[in-house]
Amino acid sequence: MVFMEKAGKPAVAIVSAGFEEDAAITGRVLGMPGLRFLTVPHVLTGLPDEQIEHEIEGTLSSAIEFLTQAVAGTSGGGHSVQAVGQQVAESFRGGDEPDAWRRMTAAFLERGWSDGFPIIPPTPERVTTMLGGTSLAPDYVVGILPPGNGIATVEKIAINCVMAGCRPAHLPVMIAGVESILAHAGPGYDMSTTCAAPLMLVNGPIVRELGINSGRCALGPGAQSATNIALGRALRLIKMNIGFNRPGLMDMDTIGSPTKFSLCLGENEAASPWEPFHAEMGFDPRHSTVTVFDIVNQKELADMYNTTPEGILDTFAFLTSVSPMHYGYYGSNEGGGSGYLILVSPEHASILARHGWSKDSTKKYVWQRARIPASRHSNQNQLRHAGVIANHWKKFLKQPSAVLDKTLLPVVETPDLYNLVVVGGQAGKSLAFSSSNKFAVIEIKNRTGLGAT
Amino acid sequence: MVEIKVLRPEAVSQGDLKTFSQAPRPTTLDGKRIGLLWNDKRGGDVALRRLGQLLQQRYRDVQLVPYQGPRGYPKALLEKAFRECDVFMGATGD
Repeated sequence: MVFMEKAGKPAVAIVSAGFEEDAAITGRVLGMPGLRFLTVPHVLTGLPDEQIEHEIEGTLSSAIEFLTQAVAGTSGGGHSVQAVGQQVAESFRGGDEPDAWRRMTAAFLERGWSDGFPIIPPTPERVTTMLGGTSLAPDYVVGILPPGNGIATVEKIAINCVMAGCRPAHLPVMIAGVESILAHAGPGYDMSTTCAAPLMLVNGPIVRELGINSGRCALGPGAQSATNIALGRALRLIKMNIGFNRPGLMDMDTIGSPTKFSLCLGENEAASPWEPFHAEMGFDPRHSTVTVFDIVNQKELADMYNTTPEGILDTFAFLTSVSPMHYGYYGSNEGGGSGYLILVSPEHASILARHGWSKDSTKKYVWQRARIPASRHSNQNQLRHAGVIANHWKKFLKQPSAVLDKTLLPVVETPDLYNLVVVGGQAGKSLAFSSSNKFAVIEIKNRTGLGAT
Repeated sequence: MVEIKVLRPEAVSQGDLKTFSQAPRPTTLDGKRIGLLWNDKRGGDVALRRLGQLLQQRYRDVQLVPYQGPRGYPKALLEKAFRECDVFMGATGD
């Protein structure tokens, strides 16, 4: 709607109750504060058609008003530029230091600046120290982070890193993490009602240098994962405070997920029989990289009994024989689709490699074996709509259900939509996440070496 | 009394720096082509179609032109719709 208004034609959106603030802030961050929209009492997705028709009838007079009457003083096109204030420190006072810190924590939480856990105060001194971790200037703009289109300066990233408990050496990792998101995130990024979360994968020598856990319980709590936790948490705070991706505003996640608090790990390259992920993607394995995957769901791929690749991978295929995302399978004319990120345990990887299986042959086998009836895809709203489905799947749109029941299709479009990363301690327990097919591997640069330990 | 000084973690949004004005409004919807933008979520099409019908009953010679696209409408789709219609209504189902 904003696109149309900016281009010069009236537009109005229908918004469900509970999504008004989300719609309002969306207008604001796209440069159209005060954008008007039609509000219906309920989310439409679960309503019968008759009720939808009844509820929309109540918006008719507003629709006419919004399409034919200008808001006073806003018609005529063009734009204005406002000044931006300088970065000014804010003071919090208390009877003692814990009291002042408590007041600051409460204020940050109230403003939507915190994930709910205690935060390290981003004092000017701590932020200056953090900025020493990169050779980039504090005012260097890494990019404009959707969905809120926040201007991601190095300083803003550093402030959020301080709050999360990062060290200066973590700052270049986080800058690369932001760049990884920017490389694939479009307008409306991660505003969905889905419980999506960013998973940050780190590859290369920096994993060992910074003590990023790539072994046992790499995604868990505790001292061995302290760096992982701080890095993942910083990315969440950056999404909230720079991307304005806040629950109930520009993060309309229906239920949420603990994965949204912190999700960062390294690849266990020392225990992997294969080339590391970043080398597979064309990077020099001696360099260090960050890759941010957008993930939902989590399924343990437990198999401690089979000792052959086929046996283990049949388990993988069985346990991932579901469409990875509700809109993931059919792709789109824009090249959509989604896949799986499989964290392969060193034990599983070693059995596969010992029998001569590469990453490619592993992916192809799982892709071939993880198949479900086309009718199940269709039931989940896939293979249904001509306007969003990729051309090569349109032949399924008019098939009778009996044919769809008997037609087995892979759960992802192509084998390369499985991504394999070796992670974890020794046990026959791998882990699968559903993931977006869009991700970018970014080399970590501009390190100063400060604060590595 | 102890004081903690902290820096603001929230970024400036680009949208706050550069604001756009609302498009000029027609005085009537008579004879207008109304683009109905639906992102494929269940129910949005039903709401748009019904609202369009109500506008057709209220105004003369209103044409409804439906557009369906994946989330985050492709720019080419938006540009096509912009060329073909006079005003727009959109729905996402939520």
